[in-house]
Amino acid sequence: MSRRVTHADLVARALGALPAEAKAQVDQAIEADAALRRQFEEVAGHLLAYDRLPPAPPPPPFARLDAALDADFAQAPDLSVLRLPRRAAPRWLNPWVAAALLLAGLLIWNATDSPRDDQQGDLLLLPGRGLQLVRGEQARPAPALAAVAVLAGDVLTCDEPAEAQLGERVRLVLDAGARLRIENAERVTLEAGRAWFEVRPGAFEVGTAHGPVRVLGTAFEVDLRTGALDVAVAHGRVAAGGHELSAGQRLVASSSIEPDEGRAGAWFQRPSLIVAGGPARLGEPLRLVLRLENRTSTLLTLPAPSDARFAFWLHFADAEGQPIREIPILPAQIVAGREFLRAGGEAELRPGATREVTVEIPAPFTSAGTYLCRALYRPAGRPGVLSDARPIEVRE
Amino acid sequence: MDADRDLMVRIQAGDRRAFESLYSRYGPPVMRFLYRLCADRVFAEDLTQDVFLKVWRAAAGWRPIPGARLSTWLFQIAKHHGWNEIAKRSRRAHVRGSPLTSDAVARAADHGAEGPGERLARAEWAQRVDAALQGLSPKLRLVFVLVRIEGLPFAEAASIAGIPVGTVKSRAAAAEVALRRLLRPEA
Repeated sequence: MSRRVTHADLVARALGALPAEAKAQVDQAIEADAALRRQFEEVAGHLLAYDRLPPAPPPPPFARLDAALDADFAQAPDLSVLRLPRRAAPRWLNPWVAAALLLAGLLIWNATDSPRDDQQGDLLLLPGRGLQLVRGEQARPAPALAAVAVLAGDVLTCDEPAEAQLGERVRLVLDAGARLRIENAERVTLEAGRAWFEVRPGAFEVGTAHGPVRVLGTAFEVDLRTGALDVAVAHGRVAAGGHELSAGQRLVASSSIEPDEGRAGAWFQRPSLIVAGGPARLGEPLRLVLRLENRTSTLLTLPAPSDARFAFWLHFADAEGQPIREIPILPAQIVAGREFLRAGGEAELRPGATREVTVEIPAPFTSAGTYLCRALYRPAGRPGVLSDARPIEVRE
Repeated sequence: MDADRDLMVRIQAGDRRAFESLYSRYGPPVMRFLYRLCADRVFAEDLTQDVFLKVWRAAAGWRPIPGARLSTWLFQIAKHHGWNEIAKRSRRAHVRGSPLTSDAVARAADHGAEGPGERLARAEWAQRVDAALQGLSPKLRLVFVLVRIEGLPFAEAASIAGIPVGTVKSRAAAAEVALRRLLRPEA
């Protein structure tokens, strides 16, 4: 029996991707139809020709990328601050499924004779498993996979991380113990814990005790667990504390800290790294002080690496700036400030605060002269902080 | 796969040598992909560099997913970045009238030992295909490059393009039809 042969059939036949039965049918159709035969020859010819395309140009040399990385180093955003990772939307949150469920929920709601509050809005919540809905004094598990109409003042909470779709534009993930109060489709208040939001473009605001975090179409995390406001932006833009954050940026500010005026760039700076030390003598150890200083008015949280994942390097260049060598500082070379490098956790650097590490490198120079030294603080997986170059005079 | 994972773990620790290895392995396919999307060598080089800068910055957040290939992640970044940048340029060439550039001839010459006539024919064909690709809509062009030029399985192309597998198949077929029309000698 003959079948209608489509262009896709011809391509699949030319690529040898048809099952035996379909192949026989297509071959039969090609044999019987001169026009189809010409079309097949053309398709097969093109496919062969695509395979015979000359190679594309090679990528630029790595040295160019390497130089760009150096230039990028100081400003590179640190995406690893996002401690609540973005999770793939569960299947039931497929937009079409979600829309169908929302519609079904709305219809069911309208069809039932359940008492309706005068304040009843049309904001629907599509809760994931484990989400609790607190209305007034009453807390009850939100029925997973069924749309629920929420009222202003309803609170969402959970004992383990739970997801939900709020209205059509907001997907949220609450961490265990978080409390999120619904106000309307465009505003919620995070009362405790941390939550992750993915918001389609449009107005949306997360209120906190430290002030609102206003969405400009984005995905971001708000964390109140440490008593400070901690906002980390994955993509898009967010306004918080009078500043605008973009992807990869993070604001950590307690209510007692007034943010700087101006754009985020004004305060979202890495701490400066300063190298201090006097002249050195050939054959003698070189002692340097590496100082991390927070010159901003915002609390900075620095990852404090353990000795096993050591994070200080020294770069030496000649007086012209030509690189000579790069050496990691070994734990044994720390002579003071080791407490800053305690294992695990993070170190806070409040505005104006400094952390100093004194290191002693055994006789790094083999000839006298002036060298330029830069220090690099780079915990594993982080872009790090690179100090300005400091001249070091080495005498005979 | 394990070698890729090891490379990424080293990159997460800030190892530039590992990053260089990753670049030498995946720089050429990413460059080829972007070049076929934009048909502009210099622009594709810039895009490739940008893509790998993004890879370096995003490496800290990378986590191995069982069964997922690193190349898919890299192509996703390349597609996302390249797509946006190429859309900004919104450049469209025409099949007819594209001059045969010395660059195209030089690359055709790299392809193997051929006579000058064959070399020119190959260069001209490549130029026609590049130009015809620019005549496709961006959606069709992306799928065609992934499936027919890069030879990726439909499922992987779907993952990179962020569309269902069925859509990839239909777009690949539609791109074939459109290209065949654009590449006819009388076109």
